[in-house]
Amino acid sequence: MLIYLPIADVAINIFLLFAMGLAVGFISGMFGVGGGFLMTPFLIFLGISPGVAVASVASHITASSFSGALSHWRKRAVDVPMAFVLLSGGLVGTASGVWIFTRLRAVGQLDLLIGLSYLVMLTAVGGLMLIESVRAINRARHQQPSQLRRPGAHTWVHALPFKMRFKHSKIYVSFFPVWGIGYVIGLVGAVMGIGGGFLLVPMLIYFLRMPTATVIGTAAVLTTATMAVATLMHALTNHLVDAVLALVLMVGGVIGAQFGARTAQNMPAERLRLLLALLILAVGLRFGYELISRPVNLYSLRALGS
Amino acid sequence: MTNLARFFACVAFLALSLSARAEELVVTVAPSQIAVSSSYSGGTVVLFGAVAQSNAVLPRTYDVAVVVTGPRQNVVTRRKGRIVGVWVNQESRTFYNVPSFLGVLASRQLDEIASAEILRRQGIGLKNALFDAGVQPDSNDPFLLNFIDIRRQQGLFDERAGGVTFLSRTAFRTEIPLRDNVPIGEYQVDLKLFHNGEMVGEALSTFSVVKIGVEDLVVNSATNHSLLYGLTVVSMAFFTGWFASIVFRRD
Repeated sequence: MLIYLPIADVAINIFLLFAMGLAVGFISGMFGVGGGFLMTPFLIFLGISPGVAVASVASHITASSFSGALSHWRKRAVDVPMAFVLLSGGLVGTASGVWIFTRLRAVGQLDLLIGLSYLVMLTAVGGLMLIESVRAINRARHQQPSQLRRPGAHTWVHALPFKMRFKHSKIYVSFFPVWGIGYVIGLVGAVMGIGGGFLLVPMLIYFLRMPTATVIGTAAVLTTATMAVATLMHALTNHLVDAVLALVLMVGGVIGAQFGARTAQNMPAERLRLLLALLILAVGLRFGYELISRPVNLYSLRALGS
Repeated sequence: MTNLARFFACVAFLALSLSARAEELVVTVAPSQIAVSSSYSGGTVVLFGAVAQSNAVLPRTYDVAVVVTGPRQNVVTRRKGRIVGVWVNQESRTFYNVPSFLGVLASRQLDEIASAEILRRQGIGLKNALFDAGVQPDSNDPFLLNFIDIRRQQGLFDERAGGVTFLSRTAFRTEIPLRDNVPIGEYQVDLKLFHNGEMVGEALSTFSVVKIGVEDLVVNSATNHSLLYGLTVVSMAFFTGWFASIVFRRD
């Protein structure tokens, strides 16, 4: 059954969209990420313009991360002060991201920026995660104890001033790296149409040494807030949020996420991370291939309005 | 050209047009409005026409060319080039006031209907109908050729000889197919009647493509009430997320 999307101006099979929402939701629930890095490229592949895809996926991620944030909240796994500091950076980052997005769209380099950011972000994060999870699997095989946290191992991050105490996470760290991480996630999220969960979680663990108990819940709260703001800003500046598209994706996404989360409970964490790393790396390399291979048509059009 | 020459040219033109008096044409398009709702995935506009009155003593055979033009827009055409191994948009050319939809339908091959000069002057054919009369495009410009090519692939530009069929010697019919990506707005249908390579009649008609119902509501709110629209989408997201966490709650 075809459904005409009012802002995207194309008719797309509603079951296909719903199934995509389910599938991406399943992956997002399984790995505890938003899944925007899969959804946005999928929509572009289906013929939806990158602008509409990025703007509409932001609202889809708002829904799926809000449902995640709520269940973590009930388990008291959210560090509220941490979320607020991250958010103060995240909001500024989102605003800068939407601004960059609008400017590059006007000069015709938006697709390039999206492609390059995907390539760099996904291959870097995917590659690092791959190495890390292969090591973890080897350690597990050789029965060595894993070393998740090295107490006393301070980096330059811990030498910065304006230190704050985050009781819930039991860490004592400067305001700046926390704010900075929030800013980067907000910026990247708005430009790439992703929540940035796959970036945020490793950053919080490796830079701030946040314990895994609070990291996912706090990340979900931040993602919810930045993506809600990104949706609002995209709606105000570019008028590209397609409510019909967003609704179909949202409903599929939140249902899929529940099943994904249940599947993940029966899998060892290292193997889960390895799978996610491979997935992220594959999407990143796909974007890289697209940038360096000769395009089918060198020419492209964009209507400016009458 | 001097003023005197221009005057004589006018007189000559008037005399000619009086001698070859135009045939009367009646034309109707149906439906006059294509409604784009959430179930819309393409449509067809059917055009019927007839030569109502021929001033010729002997019965004539006719040719018909129909040019359908969608709302006009400015379009940037960009060309990618390679910079350090990466394909990047580089040169670009903007075409101003070009139709967003262009359908050219004819009863025969265009060059069999009239001379290239007449076709150009009357704006018949994809390249001829693209710009306002008087604008002489460089027809070998790669940007222009690729612009037309991409629009054809998108199903927005189409030229079909034999697209107009005669039902009798004077009555004819044609179909204008519209895809799901059809631009919203007013469409002009310009119909021209030929006999022996000369234009002997012309008729104009219009139809419109409008979004209705939910589609209209969404587009209207997204552009005119963007804050409210954005807030609505965000609350929709929160509600969906909250609802899912309630429904699937297991503790």
